[in-house]
Amino acid sequence: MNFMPKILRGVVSYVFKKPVTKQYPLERVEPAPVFRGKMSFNPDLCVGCGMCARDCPTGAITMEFYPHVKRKMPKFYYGLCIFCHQCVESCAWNAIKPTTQFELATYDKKQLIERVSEQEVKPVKPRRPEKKLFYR
Amino acid sequence: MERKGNDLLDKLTGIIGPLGKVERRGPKRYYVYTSSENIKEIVNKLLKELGDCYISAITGVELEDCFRVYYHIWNFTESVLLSIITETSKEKPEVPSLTDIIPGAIFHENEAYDLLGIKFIGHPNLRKNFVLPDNSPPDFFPLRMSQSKRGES
Amino acid sequence: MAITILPFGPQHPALAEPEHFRFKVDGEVIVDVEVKIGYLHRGMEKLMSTKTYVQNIYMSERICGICNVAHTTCYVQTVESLAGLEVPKRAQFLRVVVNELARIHSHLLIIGLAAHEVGFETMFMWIWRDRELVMRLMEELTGNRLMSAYNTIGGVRRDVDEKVISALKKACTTLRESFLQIRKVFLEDPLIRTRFVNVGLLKSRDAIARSAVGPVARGSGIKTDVRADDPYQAYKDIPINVVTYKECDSWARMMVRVDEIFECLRLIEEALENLPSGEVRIPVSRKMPEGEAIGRVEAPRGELLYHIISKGGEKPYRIKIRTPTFSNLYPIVATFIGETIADIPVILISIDPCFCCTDRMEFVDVNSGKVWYMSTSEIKRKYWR
Repeated sequence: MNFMPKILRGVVSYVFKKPVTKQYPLERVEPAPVFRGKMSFNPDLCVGCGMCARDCPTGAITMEFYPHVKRKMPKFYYGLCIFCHQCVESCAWNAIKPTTQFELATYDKKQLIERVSEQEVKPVKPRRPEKKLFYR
Repeated sequence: MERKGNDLLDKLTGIIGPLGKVERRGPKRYYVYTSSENIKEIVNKLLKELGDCYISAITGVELEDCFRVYYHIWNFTESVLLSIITETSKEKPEVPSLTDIIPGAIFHENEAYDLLGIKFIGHPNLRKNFVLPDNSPPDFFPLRMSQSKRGES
Repeated sequence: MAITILPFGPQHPALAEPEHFRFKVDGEVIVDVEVKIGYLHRGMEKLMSTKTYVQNIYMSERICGICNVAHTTCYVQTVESLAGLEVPKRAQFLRVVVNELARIHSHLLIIGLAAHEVGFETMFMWIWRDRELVMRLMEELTGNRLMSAYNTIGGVRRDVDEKVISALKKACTTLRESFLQIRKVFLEDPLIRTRFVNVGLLKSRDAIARSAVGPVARGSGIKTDVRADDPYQAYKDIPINVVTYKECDSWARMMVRVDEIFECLRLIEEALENLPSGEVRIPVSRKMPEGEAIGRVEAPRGELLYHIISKGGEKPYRIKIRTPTFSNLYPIVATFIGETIADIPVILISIDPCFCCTDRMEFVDVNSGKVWYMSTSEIKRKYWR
């Protein structure tokens, strides 16, 4: 029982502290700045190389063919995504960028599919890769 | 460091002698190639000459023409992982069990039997569906190459 | 008295993991145990041979959530030794930091659960409060509270900055202080002592013969630790002290974990102190050469072994994974005999069981006697969307 004074000190100190819990939906909770959340995809930068789809461990990214411009673009299905950010790493053209957004819950699975609409797709201009890749 | 590795290689070759071929595969990794009859004798000799060992894992793998079984044994005194490698035919995959020498092998051997169908002769309780579901058929060995086609039975 | 069979699990009163035990009891005393594993068999080994080396990093992480860092470290280390790569020194030190953080987190989890199991709820709350601190640190360092995705073939995926280093150092001091008190409770508290001391005796000879690994073996007085015997990563540069207890009972196994946390804190501080500068990863090829490699890592629960057989190309031919609980289950079965029913949870918790590690291998779908395989994309095509 000789650790009783320490417990009491702890109890007293917690009486004067604010509650640790936050009223989440009413109060914003920010994850750490390096948190791996949803990816943001920029169709203007994409060249359709398909490395993201090839490296995705769960098959959450599939390449979709757009016949009117004769090119492929990734389609993201967040229901399968495990947020490992391997696609961010594999994209040499910086088209996939990480964000810290984590609020993805939905009632409808279809809302988890993210695809580029036909109007947004432009014909691809050949460019050189913009960043160094670690897997060759 | 390299000197010590060669010393150990000589020592292991001396212990095992004509029963198998010892090969150094990197720091603290040694492969011992042998035939299935000699395994028990080799492990007995290792226990006697080198001291306490425990069984770290048993890998079974199906190659083109045979099944290969690796007994990964860690020795405490020399701090070395010995992989004793043996091959067995595809028609009658049988290797002797180590359970009477190292009782810890019991689960590892049962798992290898369940997934690959390699029979361990002398195992006290070799049963099918050890890790697989209870209602999977008795001739179903999922790690075999014949089972690797997906989407069909 | 007649012998009764007492089925225990898959839905346990003791722990939230599905495993089936059949205890043959004579009155209160256990005379025989049968164990049925396989409820969490997910076909990981077969599935890993159908995926590329890059995808398999994340596969190996999903084998077990709690020791995910140990699994990825072991996997990437085995692949690196297969390809003959030398990882930059800074990455090796960072891997040690993340490994030790994960070890603290895992040990805190099981010590907390042990306190919960014997009805010491206050201690459970204390310990899990400290665990929250460790998980926040993991998030700041790796990007997620639990699934780190930090290791990659050829290094680690992100570098640390000064802010994170100072936060880590500060947390080490806080944790050490609060853990000195928890250690004292484990040493002296009558409630803990009556429930843990002399329960589930596993003698040294039995532990060796039955191939116990990790804290279970160390609790039986065997000086075995992969970090010391077979040093990997930066453990070559930071020597570690192996904690052993000679009591051989459940209490000794828990005390090994309690004392190891102090060792982990020391390792983190030393690794951060001596952190070399430079690159954190090197470019690697997607294709691996033909050959074999065996990797061993000290996971929080004991020795973890990966054996990769490659026939060249982008995909491995065979990956064998031997997880610590699979090895520890057989030794612990023997310790049940002679104990009473009330001690079952204590003995089970003292090996820190992790059954999702234990059962992995095949992806099997058994339906009306017919067996078929399905890939994720096929399931997706047939059932989803």
